[in-house]
Amino acid sequence: MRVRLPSLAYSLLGFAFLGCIAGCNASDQLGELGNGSFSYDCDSATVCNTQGAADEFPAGIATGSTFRVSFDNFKAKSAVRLEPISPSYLTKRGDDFVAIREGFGGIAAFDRNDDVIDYLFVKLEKPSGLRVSTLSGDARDATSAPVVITGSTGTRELRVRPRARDGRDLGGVLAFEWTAADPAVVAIDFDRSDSSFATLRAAGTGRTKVTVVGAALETTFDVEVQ
Amino acid sequence: MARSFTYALLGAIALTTMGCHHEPEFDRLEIGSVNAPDLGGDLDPNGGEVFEGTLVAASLQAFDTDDEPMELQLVAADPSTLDVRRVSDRPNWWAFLGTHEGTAGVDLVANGQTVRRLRFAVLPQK
Repeated sequence: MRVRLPSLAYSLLGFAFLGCIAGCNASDQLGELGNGSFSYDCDSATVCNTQGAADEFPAGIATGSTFRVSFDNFKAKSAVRLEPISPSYLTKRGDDFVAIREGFGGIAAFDRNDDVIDYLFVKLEKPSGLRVSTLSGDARDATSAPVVITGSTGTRELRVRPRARDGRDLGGVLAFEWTAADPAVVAIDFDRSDSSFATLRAAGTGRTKVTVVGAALETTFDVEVQ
Repeated sequence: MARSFTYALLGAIALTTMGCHHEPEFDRLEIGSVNAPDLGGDLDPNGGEVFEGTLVAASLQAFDTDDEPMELQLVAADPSTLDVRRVSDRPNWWAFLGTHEGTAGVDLVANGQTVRRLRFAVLPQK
C-alpha cells in the first residue's frame, strides 16, 4: 500500500490551520500527523522577528550546520523530546541538531512514554556558495561592489549565509573565518561562537580584499576605506 | 468393571470438552490509513519498505479466527535498523522509523505470543 500525502493529512492540515489562526508563527511547520507544529529557532542564519522567532522555517538546511527546532503539541503541554530518526542524516549535540548529509532528515517528537506525537522532514542540502551581505547602510550583496567605510572610526556590519545550488539561502549555523588581505586597511571583529556576523573597522585608508571561509567554500569581496 | 467404564466415560467427556473448547487464534493483519508523506512508504500485511532517516505511520488491526479485533503489540527485532513506536493518542497507530539502511523484522505479539514476524527493508533515500 503506497501512499503519498493521504487525504487524512489534508484534513489534519485544515484542522490545524484553523487552530493556528489564533497564534502560530510564520516559522511554524505543521507536523505530518497534524498533532503539533515545529518551529525553527532564531539563529544567525535566519531573519528573526521581534519576538525572537525565525521569520520562516528554512526550505533547506546546510549540511555541516547546527540548528534548533521547537515543538508545540496541540493536544497537551506535557514534556516533549525531539530526536532525529536516523543518525546518518541528523544527529543531536545538546539541544542542537547537526545536519550530516544531503537528503531528508526526519525529526520525531516523542512524549513521555516514547510514543511518537508527530514528525517532520527537513531538507538537508550541501551549500554551493556563500552570500555575504552588508547589514548597515546600503544593505546588499557585498560582492556586487566594494564595501565602503568612511572615516577613521567607520564600521560596517556584514553577515554571511550558505547558499543552495539554486541561490536560495540555507538555514543552519556554520563556522566561518573572516580574513583581511591587508589588516592595515581594515580590521575584522567576529565572535567565533556566532561567526556568521562580522564588523569591519577602518584601520587606515585604501582598498583591500576580505575573504570569508566556511563549509569548505570561500568568497572574497573588496573593501574600501575612505 | 463398572468403575473402569466410569473412568473411561469421564475421560471421553473430558477429551471431548477439551476438543470443543475454542481458543481464537490470530488470523490476519489489516492495514488501515498510512501516513507516508513526500518520500512515500510501502506497507503490506507482511512488512514493507521505509526510507532511511524517515518514518511511516499507519493504523494496523489484527483479527482472530472469529473475525474479532485482537489487541496488538509490535516489537522491533533490531531497533538500530528499524524502530517501532506507538503513535500518541491514536489507538492502533504505529510508527516505523528507518534508523539505518538494512533489513529488520518486527514481531507481532497478540495474547502474549508472537504470531507473525513482519519483514522490512530500510532503503537509501531516492
